[in-house]
Amino acid sequence: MNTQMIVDSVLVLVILLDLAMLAVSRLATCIRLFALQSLLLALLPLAATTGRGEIPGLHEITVAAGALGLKVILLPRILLRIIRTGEIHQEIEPFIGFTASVLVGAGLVIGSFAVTRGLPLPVDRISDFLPPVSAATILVGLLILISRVKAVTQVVGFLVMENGIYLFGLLLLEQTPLLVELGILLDLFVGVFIMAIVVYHIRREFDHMDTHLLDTLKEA
Amino acid sequence: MSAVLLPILFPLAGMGWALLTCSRPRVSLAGAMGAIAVAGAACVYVALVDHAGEQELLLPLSWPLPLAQACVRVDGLSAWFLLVIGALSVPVAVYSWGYMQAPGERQGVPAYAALLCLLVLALILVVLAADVVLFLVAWELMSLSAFFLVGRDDRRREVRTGAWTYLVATHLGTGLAVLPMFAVLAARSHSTQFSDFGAALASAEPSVAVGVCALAVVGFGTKAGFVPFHVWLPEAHPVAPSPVSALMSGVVIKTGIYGILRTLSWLPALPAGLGVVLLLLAIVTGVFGILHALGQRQLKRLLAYSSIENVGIILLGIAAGVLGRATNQPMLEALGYAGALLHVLNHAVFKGLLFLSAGAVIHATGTGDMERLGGMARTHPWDAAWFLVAAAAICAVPPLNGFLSEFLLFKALLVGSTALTPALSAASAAGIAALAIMGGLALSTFTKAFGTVYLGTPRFDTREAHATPMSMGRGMALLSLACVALGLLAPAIAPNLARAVQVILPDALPASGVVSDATGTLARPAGMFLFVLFIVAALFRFRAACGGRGAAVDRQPTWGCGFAEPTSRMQYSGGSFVDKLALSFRHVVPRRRQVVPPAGYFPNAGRMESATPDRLLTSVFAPLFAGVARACERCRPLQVGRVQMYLLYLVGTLLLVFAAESWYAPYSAEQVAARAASGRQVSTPAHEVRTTEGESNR
Repeated sequence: MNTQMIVDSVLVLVILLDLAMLAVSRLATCIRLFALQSLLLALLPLAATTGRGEIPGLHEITVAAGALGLKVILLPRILLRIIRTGEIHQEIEPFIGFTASVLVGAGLVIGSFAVTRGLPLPVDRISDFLPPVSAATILVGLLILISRVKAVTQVVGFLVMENGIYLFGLLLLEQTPLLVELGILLDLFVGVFIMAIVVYHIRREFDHMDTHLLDTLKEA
Repeated sequence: MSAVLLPILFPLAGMGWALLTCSRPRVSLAGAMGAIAVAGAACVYVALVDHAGEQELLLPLSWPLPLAQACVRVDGLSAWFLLVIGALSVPVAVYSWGYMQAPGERQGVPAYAALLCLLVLALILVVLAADVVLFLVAWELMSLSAFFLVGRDDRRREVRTGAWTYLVATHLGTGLAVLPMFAVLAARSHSTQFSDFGAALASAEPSVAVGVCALAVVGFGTKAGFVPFHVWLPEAHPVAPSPVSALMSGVVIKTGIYGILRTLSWLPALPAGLGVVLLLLAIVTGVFGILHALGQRQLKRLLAYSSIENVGIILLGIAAGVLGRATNQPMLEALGYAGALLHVLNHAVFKGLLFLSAGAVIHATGTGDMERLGGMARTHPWDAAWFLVAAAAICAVPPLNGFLSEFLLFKALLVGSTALTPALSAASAAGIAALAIMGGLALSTFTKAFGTVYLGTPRFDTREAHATPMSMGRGMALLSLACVALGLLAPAIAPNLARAVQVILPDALPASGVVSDATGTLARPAGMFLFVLFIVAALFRFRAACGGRGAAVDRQPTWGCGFAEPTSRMQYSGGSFVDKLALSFRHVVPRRRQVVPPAGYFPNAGRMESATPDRLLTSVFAPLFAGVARACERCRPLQVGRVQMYLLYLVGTLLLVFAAESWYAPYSAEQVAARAASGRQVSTPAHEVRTTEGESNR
């Protein structure tokens, strides 16, 4: 089994995880699935470079370590903690049902495969699956953002979207300065941190974490 | 340091001063108005003295805006408009000092001072900008600061309406026509510098040139107030504070003319048909404007409609210029543009003065309704004198400045009607007729205005009238002086006028001789004025020597008609004065008239009402915008207030763009390859192109 196949199967797994996140209703499972996806993605640059027969450079290692520490360990822990303290365990009555969202997600995956073929992208990418998978992950993240009610799931959707962007960034790993990558990770951390605080306060103020009850802010 | 920076730096400093000292309104106002006055003087200096020697002065400000570097240039055309701005902003600053201390205007004086500085700064930048981005930034600054100044007294409903009408109109014009025009120009020249546009358009197809010109006329014409884009003028000008109305009518609407002239300077010769269309537009604008002015009852509204008429006169000159260019008649071209430019300056001066006088009237009596005024020549004799000077100037009475520009325009159209083909000659002759009609109607309009406001017996309580503060009088005196001086000393600025015209004319034309010939014709009427003035003065002297006028027999109220106890209600009202004339044009501009005559053998009460409503406003624009409002109201359910729905909108838009992109695919590998191949004229293998694309992405 050569590296190319490993990378491709990892990417397929990423898509399957996307769809799985759409299908589960338990929040804790959803967060763990996200952590798993992040783990796969964090190891991807290392796998790609070793597959080419090179030793991973400082750039790849830093990016992988950053992603690992932040998205696999830190953020899932914060989110799980919110669930524990908030005693919210399930996503009930999403705007789009679980089966339906899996179907829509599958449609999005097909669409991304169809559309990204035409894009002119840098040559010598690690896998031809990379553009469609990253597009599909971004779109699935958006779908989670749109279709789910609980604030924690919204945060997960945001994170999944970021995973897609990270995947797309792997295309340009050689060209993107390290500082930019780290900046993105920092943004992500700060974003989730703030969201966690906001979610906590929503719960404290309103005794629930449903975002759809926030629509009284709308102009009459 | 270049003197060009002075007009930019002083308003900036004034604005800073006004904001820093906002806790002390008088200090703030004094500093800001001083800064505007100095900036105005600097404008005049740059336009007349500093710039006189060199043809062009380029000053790149090392301020990298997005997409372009800010660049300031003074050429003949900019210098001419700088002169216009300077000539008006100095008196306005002086006048504002007194005006803003009136009891009703005490609120928010520092804000007014800062915004006026900003408006002057934006005006100066608009005419100085030499690249698209700086121009548009200044253009927006001008629109927005003018919007806030117009809406100063925002507790009154009509003020808010006027300000919003102005904002909507100017942004529609900018967004729908000015921006696309610059987009076309920038795409053609691959540059945002004004200096590159001329070369890029020199060989443009006629359709492109006509399209650009049409966009300029619509976009800039909205600012300038061409019919049917004039609707904001009669709404916004009357409600603004009077110094602001003066600046708006004198300079802000002229920036539209500046834009059109600047655009014409880049374009190659346009077809003669377009010249005829412009000529017709000018005739419609002018006649429409003055016929509506005739029927107005509010003094400032009357002045606003008269501004529309004057913009029509200016456009007449531009149309003559375009016709001359199309038919290769350099004299017609030079005379037309020279007349238009001179009228820009003259109109700024006398219309500014008229608005300032209207402000003085409102300051004195608290109303601008002419039917409640009268007899102010006795209570405020100097104000009456200034108004009279301006009214005479706007009616083109020699020896004041208005005569000279209309003289040039008449001359241009006469040249046009003799030297062109029969059809074009007829159009040109129609222009002459329209100009003459406008002149006659302007005369009766301003006779009405002056007569109703200043003559006769007062219809208001003279005991409650305020005296005009000295600085307001000084401001008006300055402008009156300018009216006379521009009439008598016009030949002195003829070289500046010639340089401004030279910018609009293409280099290919052997223009210099023609242009100076055209502007040189100013010397003749000006010399004639001096001669006539000399004779009149001699006659007066002679009469004084012969013993002067005899003692008055008796003093009677005006329109007393021999009644024992005449009241002020018996005199001619403004409406009755123009009623016959307005009725005779009722097929052109409908006049609403309701008469309930006194009935019976012992009649006691009767009523008569007359007005000239703006049909274009009431039956075209009002329903149109009401429809837009209804359509927007229908979009309201889109606002659900749910985060998820807004995200859905975002994602939907994104997907649409994505789909359109993949369908149209301007950046797809095949398209890039095709473009690269056609660009390099060599067939390149696809993978090589993709490599270069990847590299350029870095």
